[in-house]
Amino acid sequence: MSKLTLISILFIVAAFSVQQLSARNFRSMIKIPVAPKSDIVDPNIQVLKNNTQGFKPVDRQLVEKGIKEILASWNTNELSNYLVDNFQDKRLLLTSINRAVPRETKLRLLAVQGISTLEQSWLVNKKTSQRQLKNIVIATVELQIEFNDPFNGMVLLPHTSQFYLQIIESE
Amino acid sequence: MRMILKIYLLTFLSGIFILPVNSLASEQPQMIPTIIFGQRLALQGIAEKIDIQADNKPEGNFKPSSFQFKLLRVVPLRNRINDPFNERTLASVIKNAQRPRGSTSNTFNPSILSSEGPVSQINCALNINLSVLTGLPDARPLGNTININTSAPFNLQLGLGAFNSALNIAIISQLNQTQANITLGAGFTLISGSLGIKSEGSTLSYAVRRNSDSAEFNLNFRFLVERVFDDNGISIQSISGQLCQQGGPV
Repeated sequence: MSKLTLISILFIVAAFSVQQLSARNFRSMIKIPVAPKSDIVDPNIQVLKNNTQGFKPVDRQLVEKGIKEILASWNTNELSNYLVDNFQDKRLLLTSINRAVPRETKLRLLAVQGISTLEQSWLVNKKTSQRQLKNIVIATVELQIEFNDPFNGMVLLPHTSQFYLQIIESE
Repeated sequence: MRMILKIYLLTFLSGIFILPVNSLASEQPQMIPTIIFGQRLALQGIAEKIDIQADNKPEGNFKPSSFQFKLLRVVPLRNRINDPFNERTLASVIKNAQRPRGSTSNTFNPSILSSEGPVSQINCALNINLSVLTGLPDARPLGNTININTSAPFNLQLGLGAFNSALNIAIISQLNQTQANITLGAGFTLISGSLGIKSEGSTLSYAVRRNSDSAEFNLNFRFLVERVFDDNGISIQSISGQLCQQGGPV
């Protein structure tokens, strides 16, 4: 290899290095503030694996059990325990129910139409090594609000909604 | 067989138990030699730990014993396509009202018909474009922010075309019953019909005259407030309007 070729290669390498260095000088990372994830607040919980495909099927009876628990807590103070912290207008919902809904009003489950799993991930508690399976499930439910109106008698308000549920199974 | 014999032999000689362990999570079982100091419980723990870390398949032998349910969101489905409530929700009616139209006077759109309009009078042959113009103050009738109460009623403007508000409806929710205070819109004169506080579910009929061109209309509607899980949705059960006397040029 001639000296000229060697010098040319060295020059190109040096020029490339300088360019990289200058680029590094100009780049600066500005952290974009984002809201903290509120679904996992326990620092001991570590995500092992996010299932992107091939979800482990969520038991339909388990989903129905969860829906029934939530509906049983509706119109009571227990409802706040079943709402995630970042539930939209959580406080407004609770106060509105307290104020606008008669106390004896029940929200009854008529049918669960369809259930789909949206997300699934495996978690582990670093201290206890306890494994957890977190499922985000969407369920189409037919509901009926029932209350006794002093003027109109028994009032039934059927409607259909979609519930986005987080179900955590722990061993 | 030879392997098992070797294991037992080794156990006998050294006191250290060497056991081939099935990977608990793998789809294809693989043998992992694990050294156990005579404790069967440790065997399982170590096997699972190896399995989780090495294979990244933590689902093996997972038997849940407790469950936690949390509600993330509730979406009413009444305004979905093919839903029987689709055309009756306020959101839908407002959306229809926001479509661009021509002049409001003497312009009729017979394609927009009421599905449940109860009025049929001889002198009011033409259907008109009666719709909910807007929902105030936030124009988000099916959102979670709807909070109908006596101090801040939810206001609807029922109008003809995009501009005229013939009737103003202030939805008021009381303990067990939702009511509305019906008032006449600016620029209209009441011919017949009862204004004031009306209960939900009742069919309301009005005849009004538009002052600008003396056109006369029959307006009919019926509203209902449906409480779903996390909001109060205002459902317009029926809405219709008919021109009874065509007005002059505006």
